[in-house]
Parts: sequence; structure tokens; C-alpha cells
Amino acid sequence: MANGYLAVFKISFKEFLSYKSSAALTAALTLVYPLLLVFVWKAVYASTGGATIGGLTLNQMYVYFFFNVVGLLVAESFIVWQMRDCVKEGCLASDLARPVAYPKFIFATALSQPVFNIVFAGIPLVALLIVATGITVTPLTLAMFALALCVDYAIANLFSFIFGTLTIYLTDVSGLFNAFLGMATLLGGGVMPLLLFPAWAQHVLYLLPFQFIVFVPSAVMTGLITAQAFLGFMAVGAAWIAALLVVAWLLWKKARVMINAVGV
Amino acid sequence: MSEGFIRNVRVYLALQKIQWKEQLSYRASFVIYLVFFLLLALQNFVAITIIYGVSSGILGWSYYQMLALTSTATLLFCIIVYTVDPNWLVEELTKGSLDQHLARPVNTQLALLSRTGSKEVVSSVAGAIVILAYTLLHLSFTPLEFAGFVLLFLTGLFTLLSVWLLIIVGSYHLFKKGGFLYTMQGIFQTSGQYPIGLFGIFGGLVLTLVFPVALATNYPVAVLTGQLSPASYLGMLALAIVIMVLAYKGTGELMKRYVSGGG
Repeated sequence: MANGYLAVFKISFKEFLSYKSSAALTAALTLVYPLLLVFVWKAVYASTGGATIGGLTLNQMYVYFFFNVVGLLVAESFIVWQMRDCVKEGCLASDLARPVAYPKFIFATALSQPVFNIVFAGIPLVALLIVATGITVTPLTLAMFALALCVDYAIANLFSFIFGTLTIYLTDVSGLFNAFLGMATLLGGGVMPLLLFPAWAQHVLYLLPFQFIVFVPSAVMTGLITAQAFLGFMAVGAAWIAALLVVAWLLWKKARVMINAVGV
Repeated sequence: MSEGFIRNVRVYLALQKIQWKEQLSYRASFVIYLVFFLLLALQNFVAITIIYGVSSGILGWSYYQMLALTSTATLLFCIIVYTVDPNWLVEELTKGSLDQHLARPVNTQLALLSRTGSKEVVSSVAGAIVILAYTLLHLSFTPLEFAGFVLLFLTGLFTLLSVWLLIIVGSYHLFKKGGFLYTMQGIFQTSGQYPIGLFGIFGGLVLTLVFPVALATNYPVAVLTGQLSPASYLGMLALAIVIMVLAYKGTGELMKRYVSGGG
């Protein structure tokens, strides 16, 4: 059965490569976003005059925002869009007729995007950032970073699947999902490190799943999270993955009975 | 001319009505959307408040000036999201599902802007207007400056919509895909929220001439803060109109090459 999913992934990856200019453009554009924030924070530091803001130097802020890109590249998931299109066009019913479990099928299909992003943008970018920023990277840091990216991938794709499943009820969740992404970016440290939020807000944000999409991977590379603290973050991450798996499974179980040959 | 204009407006409004009816047929989800999008309008307000809480600000802009800029940018992009969904439009063109609308005796570009877009974002528009109104209460300006702000904002909005449509139709011709346009939209939205001076000369030129988000955010707000002279104001207004016309013509040329059924 595993060979079946591997075949699905291979086909999807080939299909993805057929639109490589569009995919490369997405990856390249993702790089521009932290660059904008670098400009913003450079001006903030210049206006403030202090060496640190919220305990972070300007250099740490640069490192933080550029490693954000890697987290975002891994988190990119087209599950929600594929499910939306299938619901609209009625192809979900034919996908269900395949001799593979649909959730696993869609996850195998969607794996092509992060694999493309990691191979063609993520790995070269990480190497470039390590050399350009001169940060000290130990094997332990890299291992923690890789683990944080795995949690990032799992959480982002589970959310994508949950929103994709909601399409069966709501017909189109594009707007809602984009709004969710905007909210997750702010609450997950995409606009500023969570350390800059008021203390009470930090306590809440460290319990939410959004931090795993950008904050945790970037904070590991910036040296804001120690190995000991990292274990705590991973425990929260694992709990969120388990919770989202349960929600995804229950939702899918309930929603799939509503699907018929012409969609929903 | 006026008959054609009235017909176009009528068709546009009729198509908007249909979209609203479609959205309202799922009332519960629509209400959830409204609440969620209202919260989204607060996002930039929160971000700016935190930045000004931990620092002395950005490029000498006061907290309320900065808030005026970010809420103007939020309002601008909420209206754009309300009007057109870039990826969806590229898909509709690729699959040929717009053909029946393009065959109607209405302006082609108006037809393109009539089919997609998230109606539920209307609560974000309302939220952004409330935040902008709150911010404006803390700034001092004359009624004439306010009128100048509104006029330049609206001109900038239409200019940006024209350019955005050109980019979307260009993406259809070049890639047949539009997923990256969401990322592009996010980049321009973020850049519009901050003073243009942050991004250097090159960035400033791009944001004024290529993707003229500054014409609808930075320059209108500069009218309110007294940073734009009357001569510069008229120059920006003229520039916005020139870019709008060029983008409109460009999209028209690209649409002439559109092959029915998606090609």
C-alpha cells in the first residue's frame, strides 16, 4: 500500500514540476516578505537608538526574519485549494473511489510542494543564511531546526486538511483560509518575534499552534530557544498534532457521507 | 457613451447581487466569515500598537500617523480582495468558465472583475473604516485636505485595480497558474502599510510606478499629515491616471489574445 502513496507522490511531484516557473516564482516571492520586515525593523531600531528591543539585537532580528522564510516554505500546503476545487467540480467522489484512503492520498499529493520548496529553495537558503549571517550552528541546532520544521509541516497541513474538509459544508473556504493565514502569521511570530508581545499575551501564544509555523523554527536558529526549552515546545507541538489529527479525523468521518457524484 | 456606462454599471450590480445571494444562501457560514474578517481588520492595529509599545516608532512617524497609513492600506486591500480573487480568476480563464460572461455586451474588464472576490470581507472593510475614523480623530487637518485624501485614495484604488488586473491576466497568459499572486498580494499589502521611505529609492519607485500601492496609501496619507505640496498632489493624481489608462490598455490588449475555452 505504501508503494501506492509513493506513486501518488511521484505523479504529483512531476505534475508540480510542469508548473515549475509558477512554483519557483512563489518560492522567490516568499523571500521578499522578510526583506520588507527587515527594512521596517531596521528603521525601528534606528529610531529607538538602543542596541536591543525586547532583548533582541538588530542582527538577531535579521536572522529571525530570514529563517521565517524556511518555516513558511515548509508550511505551504495546497491541500485546502485542491479539496476546494474538487468539491466545486465534483471530482471528490471519483477520488474516493480510488483504492487508497482519501486523506492519505491528498497528503501524499500535497507533499510535492514542500519537497520542491525544501530541495530548490529551503536547503540552498539555509546554507546561504548560515554563511551570510555568521551564526554559530551546531549539529544539535540543526537537529532541533529539522524537528521544528517537521512539526511545522504537520500542523500547517493538518489545518489545511481541516479547512479543506470544511469546504464540504461551506462550499468555498478561500477567504476564510486566507484570513486564518493572516491571523496565524501575526499570532505565530511572522510580523514580530513573540518575545515582543506583552507578557500576558506571550503566555497565551506559547500555548497556541501558530508559533510552530514560523516562530519556533526561526527562534531555534536565532538562539532564542535553548535545548531544554525546546523539549517543552515540542511537547506542546506534539499535543497540537494529536489534537488536530483527532479533529481532522472526526470532521472527515462526518463530512464524507455528504459527498455525492456531483460534489456536495 | 453614457448608455454604455449605465449598462455596464447595471450588469456589474446585477452580478454582484447574484454573488451576494450565493453567499447569503449559507447564512451561518457567512456570519462566521464576517466575525473572522472583522478580527482580521484588527491585525495591523495590534501589530503597530505593539511596535510603538516597544520602540520609539518608525522614521519619525507618530503612532496615529502610522495607524492612519496602516488602516488606509488595510481598507485598500480589503476592497481589492472584495473585488477580485487573483488565483480564482486565473483558474476561471484557464478553464474557460468565464466565456459566457465575456460574450455579454459589457466591458470585458468589468466582466473580469464581476465574477470572483470574497464578499464576506465587507466586515473587514467596515472594521478598517472604523479604525481609520478613530485614527483621523487624533490627527488635525482641514476639510480640503480630507477631500484631497479621499480623491487620491479613490484614484489610487482604481489605478491599483487596473494594474492588478493586468498582472492577473498576464499571469494567465504566462503561467496558466495564479497561486503565487496571493503571495504577491500579501507583499504589496505589507509594503503599503509602512512609509515608502523605508524601502529606498528603488523600492519607492516600484511602489509608485510599477505596482503603485503608494499612490493609494502613502501619498493620500501624506495629504492629511501636510507632507505633500499642492503641486506634488496634482502630479501624483496625474501619474495615477496615466498608470490606470496604461494598465487598462495593456489588459485590453492581453484579453484580445484570450482564446475561448481557455486556450
